[in-house]
Amino acid sequence: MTIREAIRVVWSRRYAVCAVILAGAVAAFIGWKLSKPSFAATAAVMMNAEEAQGTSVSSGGFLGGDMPSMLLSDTVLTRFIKQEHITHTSLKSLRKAIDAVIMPESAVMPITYHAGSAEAAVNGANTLAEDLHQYYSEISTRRYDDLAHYLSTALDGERAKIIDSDRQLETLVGSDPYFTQNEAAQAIGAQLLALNQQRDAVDATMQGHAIAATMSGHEMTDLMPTVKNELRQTDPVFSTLAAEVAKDKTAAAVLAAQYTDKYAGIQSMEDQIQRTDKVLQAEQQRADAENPAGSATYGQLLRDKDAASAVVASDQAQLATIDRQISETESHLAKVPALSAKVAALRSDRDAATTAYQILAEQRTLTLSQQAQAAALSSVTVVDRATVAEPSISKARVLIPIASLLGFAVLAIALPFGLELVDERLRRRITIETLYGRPLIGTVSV
Amino acid sequence: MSNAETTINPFMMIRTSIEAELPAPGVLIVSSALGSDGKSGVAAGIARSLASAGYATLAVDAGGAGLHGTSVETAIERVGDSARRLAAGCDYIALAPDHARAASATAIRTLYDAMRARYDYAVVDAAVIGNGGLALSRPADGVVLAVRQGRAVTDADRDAVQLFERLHVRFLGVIATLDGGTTGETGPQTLLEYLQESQNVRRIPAGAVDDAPVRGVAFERLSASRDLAVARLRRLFSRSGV
Repeated sequence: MTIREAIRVVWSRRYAVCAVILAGAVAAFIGWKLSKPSFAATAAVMMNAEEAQGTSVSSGGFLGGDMPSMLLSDTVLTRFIKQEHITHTSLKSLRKAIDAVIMPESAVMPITYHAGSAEAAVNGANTLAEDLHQYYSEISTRRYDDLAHYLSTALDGERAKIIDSDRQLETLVGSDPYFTQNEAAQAIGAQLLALNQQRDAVDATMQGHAIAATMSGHEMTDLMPTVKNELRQTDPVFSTLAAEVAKDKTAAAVLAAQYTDKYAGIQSMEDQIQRTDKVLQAEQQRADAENPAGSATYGQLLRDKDAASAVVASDQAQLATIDRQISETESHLAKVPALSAKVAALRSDRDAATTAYQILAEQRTLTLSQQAQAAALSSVTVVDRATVAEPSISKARVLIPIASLLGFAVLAIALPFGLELVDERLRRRITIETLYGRPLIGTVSV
Repeated sequence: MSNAETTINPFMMIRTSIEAELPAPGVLIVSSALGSDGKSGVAAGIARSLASAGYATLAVDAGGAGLHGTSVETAIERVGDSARRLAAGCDYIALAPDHARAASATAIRTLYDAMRARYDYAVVDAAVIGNGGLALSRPADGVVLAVRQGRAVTDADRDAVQLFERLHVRFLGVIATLDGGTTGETGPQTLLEYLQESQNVRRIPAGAVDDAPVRGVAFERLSASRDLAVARLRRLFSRSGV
């Protein structure tokens, strides 16, 4: 295709070309309008001088030239996105918003962050500096993290062992207070001896009380005549008859003193006395057959006897209790060897766990101190925080309109040729000759 | 520069190509894959150009516009009887389309032989390939296809090429036609009208068939109307860039 033909092709589609160029201009204007203004804020960080010169690389440190790569790493940027609550952005676009370059002989690296607002730019620059500082510290101390984690885990395990041993010992000791003492068998023996002595004492007391109770029974038998006499005295009929007999006997004595035996009254008096005496005898028998409980003496005797019996019963109960305690103590004494061995094993385990715990704790302390030392030596320090943001020319604000114009211009130029390619109409010589397979002899107007 | 000169000039180059490809005497068929591709204008232009160069030229209208043309047999006779040709201009004869389509290959060859005997060149404005043009093309010495530039490619174009290859038709080439604004209801429509625009034309007298209605007249009229409508639509689409 000659230049003339190309121009003809473009000219034949001139309206479409103009429309596309106009659309490009509109798109460029819209892109310029829609693109947000940009602000840039700068913070500065400084690396440890030795690391900046690369002298600590052999010991696992970092070069100053590594700082930009660290800053733009996925880890730092991901943290930055979370801290700043940035949504709808990618790490790639975020990297474009960050400028961080360090000079070869410098230990200070400025970090410039571009954002849509001055506040976001300042916050972003400072957050990036802080994140870089934190990330450097983490990397420097990360080699100690695994050891510290292992030691912490081991410490937790030993602590759990100690607590478990204590709990088992507590359970054993709680079930048998003798095991709180080292010489449990001796303690139980002493307790058994005390119980036997107490039993002997109670037994002796009980024997005394039993004798006292027996004596109370005997005393009751001995005092029975007194009780009966007391019952007669308290019987009103017997008392009346006895008084009458006594009075009759007194009257007979008076008569005998005043008269001789020949006096007839004496004889009748004696007869009356005999009859009354018989009645009195009968009444005495009846009174003797009465319940002796009516006698105060008899009642007292009964209470004394019951009290003595109660004391004996109490002594017997105490004796039974002591016997049971002696039996239980003897049972404990039989179990002492097995439980003592278990307690000893638990105490041994606990002592071993305590020793291991102390060793691990010392190692962990040492590790943490080394980690802190490494963190102090391998550090990045924020030396200058961003305070203000300056307006900057956004790349997008410039590139979008230019790209739109260029893109649409290319499209406008390419469009006629593209349409020409897909156009199946017989417009060009090559099309006609290709279709018919013969040369185009000429073109005429008819 | 006159209008005739500007019209003929492209045909001078075409004539040169034809002279190189098709030495006299020869029968040249001008046909097309579709109607209204401008074959009559092309045939007239070639005939005029050849005649202007001094060749004894016969223009034959077999494309359907000559509704009152003669039969092939009559044409053989008339061509053989024609006394002389014009000094400047060409002879013209019209074939009835249905007679041309119904003619045998032998009759057509005989006609072509008669033409070669009397003329240096016979330029035949044939019907489209699919409507009788192929039968006229096979015995001819060469065929050129008129193609309206800017129209869409159709299966008729591909079919024409395949038919030419299969039947060993001597296909010389293609002549693209541009809409010169002369076609339409007021412009020339037939070969004779094209010829009469700028040149003396001697019409070879026809026989009884010339004035008699021929079969297929209604069909030919309908076909012509259809071709005219198609041509208008194509011009309209071409101008609007579709």
